[in-house]
Amino acid sequence: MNNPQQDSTDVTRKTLPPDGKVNNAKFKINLFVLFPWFKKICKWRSIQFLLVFPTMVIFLFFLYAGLFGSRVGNRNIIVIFVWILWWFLLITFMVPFASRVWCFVCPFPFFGEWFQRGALIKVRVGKMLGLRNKMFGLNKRWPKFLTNIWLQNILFLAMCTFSAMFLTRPVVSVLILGGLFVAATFLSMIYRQRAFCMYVCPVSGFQGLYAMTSMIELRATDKEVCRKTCKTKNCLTGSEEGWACPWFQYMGKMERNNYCGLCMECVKSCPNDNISLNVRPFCGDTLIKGYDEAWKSFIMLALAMVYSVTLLGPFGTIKDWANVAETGNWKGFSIYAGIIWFTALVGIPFVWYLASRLGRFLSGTNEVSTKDIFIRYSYMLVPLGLLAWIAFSFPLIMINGSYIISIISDPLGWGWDLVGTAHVPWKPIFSQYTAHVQIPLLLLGLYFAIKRGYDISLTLYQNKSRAARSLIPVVVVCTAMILAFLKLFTG
Amino acid sequence: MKFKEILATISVIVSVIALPLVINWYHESYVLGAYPEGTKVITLSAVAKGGAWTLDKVDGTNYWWKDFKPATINLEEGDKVVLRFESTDVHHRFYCPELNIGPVEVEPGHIVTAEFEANEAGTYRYYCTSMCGDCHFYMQGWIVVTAKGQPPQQPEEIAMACEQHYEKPPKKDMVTWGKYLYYKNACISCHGDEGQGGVENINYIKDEIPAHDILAEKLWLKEKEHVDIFVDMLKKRVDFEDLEEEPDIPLFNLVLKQYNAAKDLIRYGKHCAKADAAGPEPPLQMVSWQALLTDYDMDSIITYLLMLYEWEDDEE
Repeated sequence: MNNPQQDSTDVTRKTLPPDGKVNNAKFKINLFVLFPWFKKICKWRSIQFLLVFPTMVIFLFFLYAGLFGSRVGNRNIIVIFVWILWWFLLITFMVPFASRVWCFVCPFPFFGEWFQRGALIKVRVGKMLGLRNKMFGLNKRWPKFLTNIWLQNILFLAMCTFSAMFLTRPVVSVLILGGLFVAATFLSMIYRQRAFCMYVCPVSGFQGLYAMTSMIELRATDKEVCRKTCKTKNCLTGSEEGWACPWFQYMGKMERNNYCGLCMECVKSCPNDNISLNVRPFCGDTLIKGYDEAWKSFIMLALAMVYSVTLLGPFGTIKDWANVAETGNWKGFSIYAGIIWFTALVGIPFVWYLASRLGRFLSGTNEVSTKDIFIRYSYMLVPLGLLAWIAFSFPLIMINGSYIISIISDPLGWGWDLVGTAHVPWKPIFSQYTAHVQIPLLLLGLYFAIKRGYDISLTLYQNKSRAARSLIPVVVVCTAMILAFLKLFTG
Repeated sequence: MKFKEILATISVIVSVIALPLVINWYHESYVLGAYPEGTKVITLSAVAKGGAWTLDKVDGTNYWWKDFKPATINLEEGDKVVLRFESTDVHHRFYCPELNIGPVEVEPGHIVTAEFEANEAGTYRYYCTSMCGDCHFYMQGWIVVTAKGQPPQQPEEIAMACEQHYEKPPKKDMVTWGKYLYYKNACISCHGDEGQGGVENINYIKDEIPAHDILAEKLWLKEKEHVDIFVDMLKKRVDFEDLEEEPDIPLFNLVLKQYNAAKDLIRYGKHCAKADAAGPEPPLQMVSWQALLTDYDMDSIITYLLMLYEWEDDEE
């Protein structure tokens, strides 16, 4: 089972490629070298507060709007800005181009981190729990059996099952977002650092997985400096310049984007100035480490499929099943929920397992176990799933985009007209080009799935032919999935 | 650093406290306060659940549990009024024919306004005239205009409130099933308790909604035994188009014609004609039920209404 806390401390697992590299990006540009002023900004202690504070105020405004504004979904800013605009920006731009930059400005842990640190900007120096920072709260260790992303997987699946409710009911959005906000604050008082973000936050889970594709990474410039020269390991333990990594990462061993929240504390605290913010090619990290991460990729793909069928497809009955708040059809909703959970947790994984077994058989050797093939090849569903989500999200913004314009003027649906756009009528934006956007995205997803799948196969097998043969069944599965999406999107 | 920390802390605390205050201040000052001085601004929220135009603030925190009551709007003669309508759920239509307000289309989540001057003292009934749900027909209330210096008049009570929880009887008994449908579908709100009619419909050519407890008479069923025979045929689902033998009911063709007319009225609805062509549209209209009621349902309602007729006791 994967332990994200060990992500930066355990790189000697069996599933590692023979050369030990988990990141196959050869081309990298260090933005800190290219733009020294940007590094200065990142090292500036106030920067995170200055970015999170407005986000937090906007978030509180959304909660207020959800509670006391119009209870009609498309007339309330919490629904339109969170589930349409934010989601689109997150999945389409932030994650693929800027990794987990959202975690840098996320308001959920704002109060929790404030109470925990007893500071909004400054660093408290002290000595506790092996750290060089002083923190408040109980500072307990997160239960060992939960040091994986299974909880996030289940919570995300549960949350998405009720998506039709929070897309139409602002108060349900408040319950979900406010619940996460309260949970983040509460857990910060009990557990160390950002245990909530690391193990509980449903948004964090999929961000971590899809951040593997991101064209940005924060890494140690030279890991040898961390391992051999650096005695203090400030990134992990903190210093008077920066807090100990809230995500429990040690830069000397951090090889993937999955559990780096880009908070830039390591940039501030590194005594050797050994941190780089690199631009790299798409799909730089390719190592899936455990079943929990593999299942995350299955869940995300299943949800992209179910959402596409429910929200974009012509199936009125399924829409009615999903929209139980309107229809009150709990029997239909149970079927809908059952389909989601079965597809995500059993259906796709089972097909993947069969393809992995067949791949092992076709490879003609037993040198790689079915388990390793199953887990490592599941990475192929990361670019595939991400691009499918983007392909799903484009029509969402094209159809509902005009609501954003009117909501800016009347965020609570109270009859305001702040910037004179309150009465802009709903109108789909360039919706005639939806398929033109979706088809290339899906094909790009398939291309990266196969390309990276092949790269992974070469790390598993010494022989190129065996590697290619082992890949055939999963490529067939990926192609079938993309064809299903194409059929659904283009009719 | 200490100064920055204090400044940051103050910023957070102030913004958390000030946020709701600023929102409400803006709303009161720049939205509600934007109307000319002396104007009475009244916000009416339409709630399909329960059927009410309410003066209460309706939002996500109270919609689910609160029992919203139809508003009585009290005004004084000469008041200049702006009514701000908002729908909290589905499409509604506000209509107060006697004050010449509306019909105002009220889309969910949009605020629309209607302005008027309360010139004459009186009680004026308002309605929702867009089929908005199970409680649509109960969505009525009063605008009461009182002479200056006088206490507000008490309007007559709106006949009844929407009751959505009728016990569902077995479908096979047409009379009880018809009664259930008559009450559940709010036929009672216009046609009165037990089909007595008498509900006023402004500028309607017949003034009032006709009674239906005399449906037997309207169908030319002059004897109780004729009604029993006809109801029996309805229960047996006899095909009136393909009768082998005509029943023992006088003027049966006429009865059949009237029965079909009554059923068509339920099926397709009817536009209520104006008494004064230049006057307002009558607010109460017979809607089409063909999408909601089956053929059996319609026959059940007719059966129930036929059974309401009070026969003189022949034996006496």
